[in-house]
Amino acid sequence: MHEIKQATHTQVAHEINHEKYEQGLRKDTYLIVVALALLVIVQGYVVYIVLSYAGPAVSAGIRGLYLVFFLLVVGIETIGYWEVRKSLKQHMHELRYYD
Amino acid sequence: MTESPGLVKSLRPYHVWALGVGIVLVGEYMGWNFTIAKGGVLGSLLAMLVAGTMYVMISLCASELGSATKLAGGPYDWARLFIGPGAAASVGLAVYMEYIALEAADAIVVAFIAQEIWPDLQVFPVTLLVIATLTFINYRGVVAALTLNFFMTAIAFLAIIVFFFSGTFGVFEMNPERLFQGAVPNGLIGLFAALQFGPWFFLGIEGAAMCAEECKHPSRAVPLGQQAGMITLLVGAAMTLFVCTMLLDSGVPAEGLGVSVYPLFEAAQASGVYILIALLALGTLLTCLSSANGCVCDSSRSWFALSRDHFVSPWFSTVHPKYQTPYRAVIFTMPIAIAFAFSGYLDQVITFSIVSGLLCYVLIPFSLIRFRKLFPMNISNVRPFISPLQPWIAWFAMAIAIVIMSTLFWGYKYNLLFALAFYLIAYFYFHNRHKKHIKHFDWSKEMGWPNPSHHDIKE
Repeated sequence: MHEIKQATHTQVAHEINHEKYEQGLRKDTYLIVVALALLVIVQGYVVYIVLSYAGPAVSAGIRGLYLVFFLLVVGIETIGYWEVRKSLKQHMHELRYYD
Repeated sequence: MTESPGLVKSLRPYHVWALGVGIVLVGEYMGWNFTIAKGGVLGSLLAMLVAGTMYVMISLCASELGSATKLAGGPYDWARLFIGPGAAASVGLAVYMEYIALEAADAIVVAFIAQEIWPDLQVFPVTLLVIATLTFINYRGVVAALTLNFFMTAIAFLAIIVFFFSGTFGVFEMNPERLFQGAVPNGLIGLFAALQFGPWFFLGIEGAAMCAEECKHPSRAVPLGQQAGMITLLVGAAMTLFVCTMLLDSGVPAEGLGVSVYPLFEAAQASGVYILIALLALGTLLTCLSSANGCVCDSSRSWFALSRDHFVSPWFSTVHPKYQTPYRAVIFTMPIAIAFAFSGYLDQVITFSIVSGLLCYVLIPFSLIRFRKLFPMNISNVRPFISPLQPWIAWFAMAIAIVIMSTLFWGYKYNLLFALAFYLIAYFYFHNRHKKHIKHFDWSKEMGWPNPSHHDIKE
């Protein structure tokens, strides 16, 4: 059974157009990088400007809360979207994503 | 589960993006500004960041579950497979109610906008026309419906981007002093109370994974499209909050931005730039239409999934032989949406939608925790996408959802109690109904997966 599976995998690997797959993955990677850069720049800019002007209205402890949640939003999304790229790279040939 | 009678598998990542963002973007054009009325500029910023954190975590859970199960029911199917029938049917009903109430609200707003442009028009007939047209588009085919959503959503999002950068690069004058004047008008309690409207920025993004069964490659399309959608909403939310608080007054909670019906459009009017006013007016209209369109798609899939498993009449689970859509479930959204629309209580309808959504936000991460426990193996046919930092972010998302739900006690106590009682009754009703149709679940046959880990322990 294992040999049949391996043979099928090898057959699939021969059938696919590797250049097309590399190009497909590269496009998805660009999308991920651009989206993440936009997220960090825009969220960072808005949080910084709003806290610069309105922040003095609350204590330093409360301002820290904003920083914690900003880092959580940006950090978790960045790790999550990079994991998506890892998953695409890992499964693209097996699940024939770019045919 | 009976075998899927053949939904068409042709959707791509941009359709997933269009479905998710299309439903939600309306919340950035209107509704989010109630956070300003409760907690001022800082309350709104905190609500955006806290709700944003919750939704990032939920969308990662939904991406993993959607790409693994590849089923049309979304949260309903995840709860059915990994929690149990009572919880599944309740969450299926909650998803149905969440989207159908939102569809009704969107259709009413479109009718009001149309009436503002053409004062001779009546609101009720236009609402009916909007609901009927969108139902017909969804009846004809999912690809056409979501391609339409893609273009409407893209224009509406582009309008926000253009508006933000126009302000940032000095096309019109911004007033940063407004940020301090309206910082915390209701004190620290206002910061906490503002959380109840935080979901407006992102409400419904989990629905992007509900087209998994109709995707060409669900394990690529769902995580890629859904996370792109989540980032779009986070960027859009920050831009919207920034330009609106700079241009409109938020110092007095009962006036200005906090009570505005169309805050982005009013901010564009305050900028005084004609082209921006026209662009944001168009964006407001398109975002309402795309939200209602996406809601028809998602609510019908939830009803279809409930029907397929005999929680409601199996008559609804028939797929159209030509268009390959669950056409009976699609048509059935129409009378329910009309009933919501004609009830006349827009704010009540929206609050019911939010409570239904929050119930899902407790059960989606819980489904993921159960999924990880039942199927710990990371093999590609079980878990093609592995979301990071689990199960910690699932527990954290549930905690935030419960905190936000508890803040509804300020002002919406009876709505919250009514909705919770409604879903409790639904839980027991569906649990009993399921007993009549109970049968052995074959994981290998139904999902192509090995038996869950607790089976091995018993054996």
